[in-house]
Amino acid sequence: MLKMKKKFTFLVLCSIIETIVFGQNIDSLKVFLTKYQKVIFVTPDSEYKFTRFIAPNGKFYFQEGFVDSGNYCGGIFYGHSAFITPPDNYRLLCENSPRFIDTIESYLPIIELENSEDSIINFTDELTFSYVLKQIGKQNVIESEKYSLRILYPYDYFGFSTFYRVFKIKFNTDSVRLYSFSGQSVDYNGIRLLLNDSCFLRKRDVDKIRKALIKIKPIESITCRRPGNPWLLEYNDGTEYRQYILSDYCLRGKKGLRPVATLCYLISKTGDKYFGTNYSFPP
Amino acid sequence: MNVATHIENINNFGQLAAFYGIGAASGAAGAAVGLGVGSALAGDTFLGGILGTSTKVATGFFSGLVSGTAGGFTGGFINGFGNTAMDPQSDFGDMLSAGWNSGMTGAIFGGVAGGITGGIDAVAHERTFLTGELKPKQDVLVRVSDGNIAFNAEEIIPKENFKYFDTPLSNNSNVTAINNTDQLSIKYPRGVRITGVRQYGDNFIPKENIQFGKHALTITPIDKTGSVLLYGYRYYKNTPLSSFRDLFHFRPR
Repeated sequence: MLKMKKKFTFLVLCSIIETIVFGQNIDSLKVFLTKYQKVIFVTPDSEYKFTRFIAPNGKFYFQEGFVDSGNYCGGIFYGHSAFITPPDNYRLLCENSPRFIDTIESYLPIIELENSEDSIINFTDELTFSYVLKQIGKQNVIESEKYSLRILYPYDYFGFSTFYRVFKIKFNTDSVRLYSFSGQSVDYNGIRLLLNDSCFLRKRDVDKIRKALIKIKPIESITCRRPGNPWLLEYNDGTEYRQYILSDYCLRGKKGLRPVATLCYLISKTGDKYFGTNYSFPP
Repeated sequence: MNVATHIENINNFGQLAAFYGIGAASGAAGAAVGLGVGSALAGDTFLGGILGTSTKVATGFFSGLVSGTAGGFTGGFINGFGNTAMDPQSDFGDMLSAGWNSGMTGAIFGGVAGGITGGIDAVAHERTFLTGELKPKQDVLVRVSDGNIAFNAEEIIPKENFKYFDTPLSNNSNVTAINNTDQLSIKYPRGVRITGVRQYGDNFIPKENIQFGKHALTITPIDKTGSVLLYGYRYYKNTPLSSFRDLFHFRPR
């Protein structure tokens, strides 16, 4: 009996020591905690389940379906990836936080195009656009807002963009107003409004935009999203609604779509002219 | 420099000051025009480039070539014209002719130097040497496993944004044992650069047992290793040029 007790005590001591030694080894690594939240994406026709993952550096993405386990992103990581930065040695962890289900309505119509070149369309881009619009508090639906135009684009061409800009132009009978918004994600809070401004456009700039707008009239709604992060251009000229979801690199070599890109760059450049280009969160 | 090259023609302080002024003016004008053209190519204003208020800068060989040529020609022309004007026997035609010749020489040297500098600047900012276009990047995941592991953690990166490679350890020509050691050399897929490694499973391989090479990873596996995921990227091929404008790109300053 005494022998058994000694054996048992020895085993317990061994396991405690092993736990301490092993635990110290793992705990010496920094923790890279990815938070995830369940999201319902509501479109006029249906509801879709997604999960939003967000890193401490503010990088985020949406994944189809609900994730139920924190083991989803476990393990040990050395170095860096597009999502995991800065470079270091990490212990990866996931946490379901906040635990409530977020609801994001679609602020743009989801158009399924037959002539699309995109092999994977799972509304992730539409969800990302709607998320950005929700976070910056500008949930207008251009489809039902006559004589208006909106562009939304990520700052980064590739990878995980944490900075988005939105320009909206409202054509009134006697004036044209340009609204500028930008949002940035720097931590677990996700996209936050950075800049919110508006001004009347000068006639010369309005003429330029109208001219560019006329050139895109013959181009039907289209998507061409990969490679790269796509941007959105949508307008409602009072009679019809058009939507273009395009990435810069998908556009290369497609002369027919150049007027769409030209209009987008023109609006962005006009916005820079009126509101400047220096954005950052105050320290 | 201009004073030194014309030292034989300088007889008094006035001439020295004039040659000095011509050299300074040609250098300043050449630099200003080069910067202005570079700024204009980047879609900003000519004046913004000169004053340094432009937020963008043209990059790549072709942009450097154009701004270098313009700057070199301007500087060379002023230099040639001004120096000839210092000769009392020269007429306006001689000045123009000398300005043109000197400008052309400046354009050639400025263009070549500007092109090379622009190309190097582009490469330093992950852009193509010739056009300065941002290289399209694709995230890559390589799963190294014994092919018998239940594993779902690769979905940490959204599917539509990454290219996925599976690398089983057995019956794989890309995996070779290093002579007389337990180490394995695992070749990366072509064009892939690895930046990080992730392990998932019961036991973790110590960091010292994983060595990144340029084209392959050397790893000393241990028993019951769950799985190893390599994180990296590769560049897409740039699409062909479709217009003259595609030759010129810019980057934020």
